Amino acid sequence: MAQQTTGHAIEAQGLVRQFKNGPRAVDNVDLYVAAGEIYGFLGPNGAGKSTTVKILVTLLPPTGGRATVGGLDVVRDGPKVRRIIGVALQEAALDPLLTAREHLLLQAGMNGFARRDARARAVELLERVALSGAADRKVGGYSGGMKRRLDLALALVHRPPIIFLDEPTTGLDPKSRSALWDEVARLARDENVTVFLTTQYLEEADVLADRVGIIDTGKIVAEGTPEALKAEIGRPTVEVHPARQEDQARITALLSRFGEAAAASPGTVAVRLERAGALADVVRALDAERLEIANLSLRAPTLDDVFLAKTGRPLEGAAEEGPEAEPALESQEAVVARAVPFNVGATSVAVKEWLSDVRGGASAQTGVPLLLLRDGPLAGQRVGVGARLIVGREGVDLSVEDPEVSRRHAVVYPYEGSVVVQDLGSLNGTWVNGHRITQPTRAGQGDVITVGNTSIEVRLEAQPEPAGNVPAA
Amino acid sequence: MSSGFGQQLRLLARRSIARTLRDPGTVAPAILIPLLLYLVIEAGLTKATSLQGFPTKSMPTFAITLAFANGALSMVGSTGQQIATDIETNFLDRLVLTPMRGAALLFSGLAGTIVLGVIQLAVFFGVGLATGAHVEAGVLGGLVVAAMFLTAVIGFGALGLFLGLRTGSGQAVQGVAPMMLVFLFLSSVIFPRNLISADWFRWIATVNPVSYFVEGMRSVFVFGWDAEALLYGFLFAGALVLLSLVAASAALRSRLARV
Repeated sequence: MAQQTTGHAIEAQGLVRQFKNGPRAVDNVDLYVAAGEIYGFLGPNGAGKSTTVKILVTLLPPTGGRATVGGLDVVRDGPKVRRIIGVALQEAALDPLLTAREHLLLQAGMNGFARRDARARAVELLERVALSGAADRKVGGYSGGMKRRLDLALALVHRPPIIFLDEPTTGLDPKSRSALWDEVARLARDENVTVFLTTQYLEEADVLADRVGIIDTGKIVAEGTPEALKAEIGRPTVEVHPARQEDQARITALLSRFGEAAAASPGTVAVRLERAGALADVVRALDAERLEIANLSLRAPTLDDVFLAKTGRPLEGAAEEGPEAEPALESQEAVVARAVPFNVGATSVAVKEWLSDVRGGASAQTGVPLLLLRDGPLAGQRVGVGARLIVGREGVDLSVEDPEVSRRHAVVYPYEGSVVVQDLGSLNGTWVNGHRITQPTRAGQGDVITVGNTSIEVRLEAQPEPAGNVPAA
Repeated sequence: MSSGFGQQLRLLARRSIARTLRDPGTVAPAILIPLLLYLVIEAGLTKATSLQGFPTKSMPTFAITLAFANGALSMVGSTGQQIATDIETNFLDRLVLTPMRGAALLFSGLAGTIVLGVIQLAVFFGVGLATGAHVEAGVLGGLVVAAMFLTAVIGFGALGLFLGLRTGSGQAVQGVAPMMLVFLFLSSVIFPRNLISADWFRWIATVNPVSYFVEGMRSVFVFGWDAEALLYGFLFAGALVLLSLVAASAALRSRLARV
């Protein structure tokens, strides 16, 4: 089925859904989604995400405004719209008494597939979502992840150019979530499928979406690329927990030299740093003033900060919906607190290899180095295999810039003679020795850090304190 | 690419039959409860056959219609529950997002009901004959009973579809289903109308259409060929099918108020 090539794949203007005697669930929403784009619709429970989706997929008529999908009006051309969309609603709509294969055959048949074609398509999709082994088991016995994968497969049966996924990973374990992300990313990349994805997971929107619309109480409060949205907020926040509460005022005064005050936990002081690399200066200043601290943490801006800035409250439930439950050495706060004073200049990391088995290794085939230095004197340069990156006092930013591989990056910073790796939202996550990390994780001599399709080896060695991150082949 | 009505009907009917047969919670009560009621009444009211005016000396022959009537009425709950579950689990939305035609959904929803009705028919006849019931009108009479019973099964199934589509709630359907038993026991299913002594009860049994369904089937078992009883029985079953399907269609249209 051909994708509409003119205009936006999805467009809404002044969209309204007012329920009888109820709230205005969707309140004058404008949005535009380009063909082949992954659009993340982020918001807390009850924000209006699902209602918007139901309008766009023609399950619910709007009470105001207009919307088109694939250039077709959702009110006037409902049947035509339904032919070009695939939909996976918030709760996997499956019959527990049917098998996965029966679901797919039913879906294919209802969409006009001949019996033989339906069987072939079912086999193909079962393989793609890794359900071949369970294809003839009743769905009632499936795990949540299996149900979600089947739901996605059902949405794809008739090869729609536009798919709507309403909170597709809610309740999934990290592995299932990651697998589903990969498939969604593959659809957009390889098949130019437009994906409209609602989520309440910050990480999901951050990692997966080309652009994000943040909705709250029916209104879109922010829209843009995750990077642009966070750039609006801008700088990282440093939060200090004094060892003695009587030092709090002095610490507040001292920190005010480095940025403006930010929201902080009780008993702590936080400032949004005026420049990203000021953390070491903060630490040195605290040390110079002999102010003892119990804890210190640095937090990069997140979409939660964007939500907070736009609505005045944090995204509901974001805290307990931490993305991964993989083992990590210590919490972010604990790790960074004990990094004082920094043991600078003792470590380097080296680009080890481009991996061919991560996201197809496309750039490995073309030989274009993917690792881009984002700071230091050589910021903006790409480095290849064999490059040595010295971990300076502010750490080294391992940014994999190939958009097909990863949109984000990880940082490595020094910690008591070794390094700590922190994932900042890579599509495939950041891995240390084959284990995906979600919190700052320590890495030592010979450990291998993997970001996107780049593998980096840690080498502990004495180094003079560098002026910045210097790549050395 | 779009599927034809026939293909949709075949696919959805197959699903309806599969889920009916795979769900013991649907099949077992629809067979066991009517049988249990029949066996209790047949064993407990044997002496009633000696009452003056009782139409037969064979209690199994008289009481077997209770199993058939109760079996047909149970279709309200089982069929209604299925469509309500589809609504509650959003499976109906999944179907709505395909080029599905409403009529295909409606008629296919009765496929599982009819299959279950055929199973009931075989079991009730088998147990009835094994426990001493006989069909006065012979084999052809048995076929007439089967036709009337299956027509009523479709009618009560369609009534279940209406309730499921209207309420969208399995709980609501299950709440309404026991009311069918009230209709059953306020009919002439336990006693012939002429032997009901309480005037109010006899009046209710007379205006209760279920009585005519029961008496239509019973006439074949007890009397042989009674054209009037059969006419009323088929009229009831046919009217039930018609009205229930019209109501279910309207409820479906309302439910699928898609744009």
